[in-house]
Order: sequence, then structure tokens, then C-alpha cells
Amino acid sequence: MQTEQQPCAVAEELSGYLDGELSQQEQQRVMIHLRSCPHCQQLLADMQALRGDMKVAVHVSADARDLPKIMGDKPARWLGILGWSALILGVLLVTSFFFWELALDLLTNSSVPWWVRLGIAGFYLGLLGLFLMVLRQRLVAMKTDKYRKVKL
Amino acid sequence: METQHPFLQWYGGAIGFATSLLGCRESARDVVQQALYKSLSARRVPTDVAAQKVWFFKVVRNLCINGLHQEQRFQRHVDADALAASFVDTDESHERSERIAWVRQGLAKLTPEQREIVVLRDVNDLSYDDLAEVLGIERGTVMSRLHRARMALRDHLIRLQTQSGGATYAN
Repeated sequence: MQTEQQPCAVAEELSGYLDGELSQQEQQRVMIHLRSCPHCQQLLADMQALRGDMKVAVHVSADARDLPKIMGDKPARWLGILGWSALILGVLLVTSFFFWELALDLLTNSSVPWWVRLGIAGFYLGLLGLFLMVLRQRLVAMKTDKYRKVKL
Repeated sequence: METQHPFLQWYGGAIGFATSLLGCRESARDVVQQALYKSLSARRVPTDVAAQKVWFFKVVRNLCINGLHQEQRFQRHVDADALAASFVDTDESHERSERIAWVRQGLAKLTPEQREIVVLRDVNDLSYDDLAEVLGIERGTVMSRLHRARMALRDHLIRLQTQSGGATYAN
């Protein structure tokens, strides 16, 4: 293994060559260079050996005891979907009923002055608007990849 | 016998990858199990196998980043010896060769960016396009980063080999 480091022009492409990720033209260029450069030949051989050793050094043999029991637990998944659907449906129904009743009361109850009814309506509409705003922001944030430019 | 979940084929490699980021085998196992659980509950999991692999490793990486954030370890220097030791399989009945021990030590001395890319490529066989997708970088950056990582690992191995006065690494 050589230790002196005078990188050749194709040095960086050697990795791509080893991984079969170069275009045909680039591959040709590296091949021609390799024929006449013992340093790069050695580098390629080292990287090839390293790649084989990496698998042995890092890869974990999957042990059946490790494998989570949840993987085959389909009923739990369906129960989860069912639970969430029922919950969302329930919240929607109760909320709709509440706002319907409130609207009816505010429109028909003449014992309360009109400006108080208007204030109550504004209060609840404001709350609903703020809730929807936060919900929308959360949904947008969920779709944004916050891990994209994380510095490790 | 229950049918094997398709994501389990990447289980071992994913634990190796998570270990390389977290520096702890147990945390890595937790993260991979969380990722497997996510693959069951997520609504939009790709149907194509290649895309599933990219999706899965992306989830594992994101969970590792979450874990690192929670432990506020971004500024902390991971102990290289502990990291190298965490790669050792508990079921390894026989002593691995000295060369493998060097690779683990060399890997532990890389930066997290170098470690993750080299593990994803050489252990998990992700293509350059997949690496770009998982790591959120350009394809051109993948080749240069990977090459620098391999060169750094090779340099560490040469140093370790010189220190121990052992045989040539690549023979």
C-alpha cells in the first residue's frame, strides 16, 4: 500500500469506477489511466479490499430474537386505523353539533342583546380560525424535510 | 410461521448504519425497530422495492438525528474506542481478524458524515442516486464525499497498520 499522496486527475473517479457509477466515457478514461498508473491500481485494490472488509466489520447478522414481534401484528395495525378513524369521526360530529346548536341559539335567542350574540359568535369563530391556522402550519411543517441540511 | 416483512431484509445493515451514527448498538436497535414500526403505520410507503429501501434508510437516518438531538450530542465527541466496540456483534463467537478490528477502529475515527456515507454504500449497497436521496445532497457531492471518506479510512488503516507493525493492509 502506497502512502505518498500525489493525487492523479482521475483519483476521485476511482470510487465511481469501483462502484460502477461512471458513464461509459468516464469509465473508459479511468481504465486507460489505470493501465499506466500503478499508484491508482494500488488505490483501487485497497478500496476493493476495504469494501469487502466493511461488510464483515459493520453488518449485523439478523437474529430472530431481535426481530420485533410487531412486524407480523396486522390486527394491531387495523385496530389503529379503526381507532383513529372513529376518533376523528367522533370529534367532527361533536364539533359540528356544537356549532350548529350555537348558531341556532345565537340566531333565535332574542332575550340576549344582539351585540352580545355577535361577540360570542366572533369569539368562537376566532378560536376556530386560530385552530385551523395552527393545523395548517403543522401540516405544512410535516411535509417539509427538516432533516435535509442537518449538519451531523 | 408468519410471513417475513419485506423491510427486514435491510435490518442488519440498518443497525450497522444506525450504530455508525449513534455510537451505541442498543440505541441503534431501538431506532431500527422504530423505523420498522413506522413502515407499518406510515400512510405513504413506496411500493417499489428500491424506493422502499431509500425510504427506510431515510427514516432510520432521521430517527438517528432525532436521537442525537435529544441527547444534545452534536457537539460531543463520540469516543472512538466505544464506537469501534459497538460494531462488534454480540453473537460473534470467534475472534475476527486483526484487519476487521482495524476497519472498525478506522471507521470510528471518521467524521459522522464520512462514516454514514461509507456505511450506506459499502455495507448497504445504496446506489449514488439513492445516497443523494437519503443524505439530501447532490449526486456529484456523493462521489467526492465517498471518495474522501474512503481515503480517510485508508489513511487511518495505514496508520494503525504502521503502529502495530503488522502485515500490509491490502494483501
